[in-house]
Amino acid sequence: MMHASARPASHIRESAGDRVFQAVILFFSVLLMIVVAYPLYFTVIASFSKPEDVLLGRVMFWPKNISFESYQMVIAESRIWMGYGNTILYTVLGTLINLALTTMMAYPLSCKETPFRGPLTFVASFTMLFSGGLIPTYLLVRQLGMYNTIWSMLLPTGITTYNMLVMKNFFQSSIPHELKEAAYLDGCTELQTLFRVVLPLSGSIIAVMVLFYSVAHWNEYFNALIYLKDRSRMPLQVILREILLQNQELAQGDGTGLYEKMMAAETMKYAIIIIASVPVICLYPFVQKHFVKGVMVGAIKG
Amino acid sequence: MSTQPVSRPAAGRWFKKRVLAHWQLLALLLIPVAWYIIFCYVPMFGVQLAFKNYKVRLGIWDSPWADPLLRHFNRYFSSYYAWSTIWNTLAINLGCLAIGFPAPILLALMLNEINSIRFRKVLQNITYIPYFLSIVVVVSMLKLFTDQRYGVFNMMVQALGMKALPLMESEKYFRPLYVLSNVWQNMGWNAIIYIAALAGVDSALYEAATVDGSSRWQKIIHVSLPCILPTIVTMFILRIGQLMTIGFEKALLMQNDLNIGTSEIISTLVYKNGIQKSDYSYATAVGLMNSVVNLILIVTANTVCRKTLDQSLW
Amino acid sequence: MKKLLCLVLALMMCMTPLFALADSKDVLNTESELPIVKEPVTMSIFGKQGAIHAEWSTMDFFKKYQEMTGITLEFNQAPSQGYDEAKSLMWENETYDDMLVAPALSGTEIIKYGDQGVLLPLEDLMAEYAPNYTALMEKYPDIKGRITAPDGHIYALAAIIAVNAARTEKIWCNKAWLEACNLEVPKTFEELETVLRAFKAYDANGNGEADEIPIAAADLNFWFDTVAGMFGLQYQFGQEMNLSEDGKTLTSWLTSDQFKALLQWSHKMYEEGLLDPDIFTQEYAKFNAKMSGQMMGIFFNQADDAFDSSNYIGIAPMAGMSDKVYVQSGPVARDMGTFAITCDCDYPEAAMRWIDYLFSEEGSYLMRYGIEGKTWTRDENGYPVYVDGILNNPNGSGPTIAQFCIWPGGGSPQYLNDRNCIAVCSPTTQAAQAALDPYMDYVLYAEPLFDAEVNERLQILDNDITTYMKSCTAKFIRGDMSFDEWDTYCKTLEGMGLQEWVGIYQERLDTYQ
Repeated sequence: MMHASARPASHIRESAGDRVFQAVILFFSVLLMIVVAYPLYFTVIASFSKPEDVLLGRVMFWPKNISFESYQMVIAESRIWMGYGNTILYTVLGTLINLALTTMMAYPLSCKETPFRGPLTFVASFTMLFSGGLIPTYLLVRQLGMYNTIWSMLLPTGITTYNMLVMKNFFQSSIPHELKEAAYLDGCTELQTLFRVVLPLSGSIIAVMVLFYSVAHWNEYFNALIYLKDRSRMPLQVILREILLQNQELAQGDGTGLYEKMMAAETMKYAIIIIASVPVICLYPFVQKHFVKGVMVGAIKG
Repeated sequence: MSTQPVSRPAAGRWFKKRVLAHWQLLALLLIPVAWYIIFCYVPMFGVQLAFKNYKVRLGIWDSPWADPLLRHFNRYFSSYYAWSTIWNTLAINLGCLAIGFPAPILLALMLNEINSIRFRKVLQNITYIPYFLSIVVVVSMLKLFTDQRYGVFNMMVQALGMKALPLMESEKYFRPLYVLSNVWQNMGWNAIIYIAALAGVDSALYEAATVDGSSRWQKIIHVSLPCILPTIVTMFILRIGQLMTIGFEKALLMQNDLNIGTSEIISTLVYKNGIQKSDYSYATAVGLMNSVVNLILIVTANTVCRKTLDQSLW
Repeated sequence: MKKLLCLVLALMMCMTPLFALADSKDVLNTESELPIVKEPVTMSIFGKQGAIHAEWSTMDFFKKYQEMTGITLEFNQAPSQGYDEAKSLMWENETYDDMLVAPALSGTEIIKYGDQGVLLPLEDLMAEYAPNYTALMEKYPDIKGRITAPDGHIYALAAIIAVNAARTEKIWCNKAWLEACNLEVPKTFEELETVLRAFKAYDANGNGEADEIPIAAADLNFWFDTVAGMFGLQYQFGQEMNLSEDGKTLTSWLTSDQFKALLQWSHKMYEEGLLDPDIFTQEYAKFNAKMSGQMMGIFFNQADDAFDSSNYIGIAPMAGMSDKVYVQSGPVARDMGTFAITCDCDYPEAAMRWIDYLFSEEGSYLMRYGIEGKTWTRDENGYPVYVDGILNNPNGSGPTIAQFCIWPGGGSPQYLNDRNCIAVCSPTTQAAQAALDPYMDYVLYAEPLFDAEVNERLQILDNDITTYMKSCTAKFIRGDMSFDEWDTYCKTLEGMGLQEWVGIYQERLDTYQ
């Protein structure tokens, strides 16, 4: 569906104007492609080039002296792997909790027969308009004793109301009501209907939710910054911030001197960016085919 | 919950029929509703901090009320930077709206006009990659590329014979850099929905337009655009709902002493005073103001949309 | 009946601290100075683990001191990355760590948490259990005024830096580069400019690349700290204020012509590419790396512990821009808020003795040199010297010492004197200080503590003024703002309450007279 061509087959003969038009479109799209892709491309070639060449500006369009030096240095940096491990843990558990909570909220709200459906939908939607803000939430997490525990990474982000509403809309518009009726007639309880009839038909929206939530968990740094204390619990993004933005010294390096170490660290940054981003970029193709359907139904028909 | 005056047996019957019969659905709701109460509504009561003098040993409830009650608000507005932080918050968000909102629509329309399916696919896939990069990564890339000595951007600028631009370290470049990097990151992703909408347009409409002798440009104006207009309006209203709330993490990461004049937004101020200096009452007051401004904006936007476009969030 | 009950309860509540006091004193070893306690006790500490510090629990100093005192420590320190957040969180704890060691408390925090009862008032404890610190306070009367809150209590102790050379920023000049360019040490601004231009123009370090940084400082604050004095500007009360000749009136120099001249000169240096453009945003780590990499011609730093100073010479401030030249100096009680005892401490007396020993002569050796025989030995006078491989370590002595002592990086409770200062006052550093001494002979007041109300007002003013000043000065120097806008800048500062801000300090000054 996503790439389905809407191009009418009937432009047998294009007018001169249309050909100019096509050329203009092509020009702009190539330009756009360069603008969007170049930073990504540069990051890749810089990560594979010899550090000195990058710093002295010898790498601009093509990699110079292909080397894996930066990657070797990153691999030796234990903090990054520790962060990686934590991030994977938080992402997997967090997404599971998100899915469970979101479904448990969205499904009943999508059923007409649910008591108090209107008020409850309002209770959820209102949080999109007004929130207690950073400080009260933060004090709450502290009071619940979740500070510096894994729970502070999982629970405060339990439901994203926008996502919940998307899911609710999906249930309302894409699951035929007759199907549920039939299930009830067959003697299914409401829970059985959810698990045996509704969820098996909701693959695409679940894929969308997995994508939304897991990307958010993977990229989360602020909650970790304020809710975690131990170095050993920090997720990847916090470590990245230290190395990439605050130039915190790296344990590795050739040990000759601080200045050399810092310069080496400067080019390692490109390799770090690649290593930290590739896994999550790879996620998209897997959910791509469900994605458009889920988003369209959830957002548009809302 | 029910406040209607119902007679007892009726109430009992109503209760049995409407509530007990659906206990399973209610049971499902139990945990998420508890979650909403704990993590969304309890902090709302914490907002009273804004009107109190928070004392660590006493906690939120027992801390004394501020004297005067609006003390922390007065303090904020007596600061020279009060209005500039409000304006900065608005400016960044309006900038993102003005440029960031149309960009994916244009991208979708352009993709739709590319004849080569292969090229279209490649371009589309490239434009959505940046969406998956974290904010930390995007800001580091900005910093790396615009470094005055080693950044590739400034090397190019210098190769063209111009002076290196201190993009990250200047008030005037902060907003463009912020908005454009946002566009770069989100354009492709946000276009997906429009691309899908365009794909759903009945090809008979285009054929009819061709028969009428419409040029490609005219087809965009008279066929493509009107067909995706409902999607655009929906997305616009949803986007308005996020006004004032986005951008905190990125602004915080991009901020430094030199761009503080434009990069200090309300939420970074809250962060600095609250989390860093533990001045909780003051920070809560400032944060509350942000929430209130946001609420006003959303309600206004919603009303305007309902009146003019006949479409609204509620 | 009810009243009686209340009375009994109230009495009991009054008694509890008494009981507690009686208990907490019992553990003290009254026979000798060390160990401090008769039977082992455990105390937890919180503080800032500096960027170059090893894990505190692995440091020789802490290991040894635990053995000596009988007080086992539980380490809850937070790393310097995100320390502000961690400290802010710490105040929210249900129970506090017993002692705050090198916690980098701000004046505001000392007042706020002293007032709220989180930090114990120390003065009574000090009278009985801190003979060393008290003696030092008598020797250096300035200390008392600096650490005493307006309510008369002392909530936190300051480090005592009894060596001039440890309280000033030296002006380091790369003499190897001077030689390469065949130039003399600059004495006037004209000569200075010639030298800087030469550093840039001739490949002074001879590596074939134009990577020399002619003049630099860690950031703008450090830049102003040193350069302002050359333009006749002082930092009274630690702020941008000058004291009148008769010593009675303070004036802010942020709107003065001298400051304008300073900015214009800085702008000229920046325009010519002589001033390091990183000065506006770099982290200290980067500056540190540049020092150790010998990348800079002239720069300001307190000591030569972070770089190999054989190529450098400490020079005197340039004259010529003003008839009077000053060198800024920190007060004897240089770092405030370096030690405090919290209300949850079970043994405040022991804690006081714990910190006081470090302010004795022998205690200061332990604190600054680590374990005798392992990291230091005594010279013929009985004074400590580091073992070989520490002061001349290629990574700089600071990071090396930070493997076993907590003082590098500053902010720790320490007593620095002529005998124990070798690491920060190498002969080169002392020579550099000698070049500054002639310019230090003027009255300089240290930043005091204000009461909560004044403090809040001061913070509001200070926040506005500092933010505006910082961003405008950077713009003036970089040329983003032209000097035609100077009047607007001055007017805006006045509008922010510059006079009120000066007035608060003036009021304090008046009480001194």
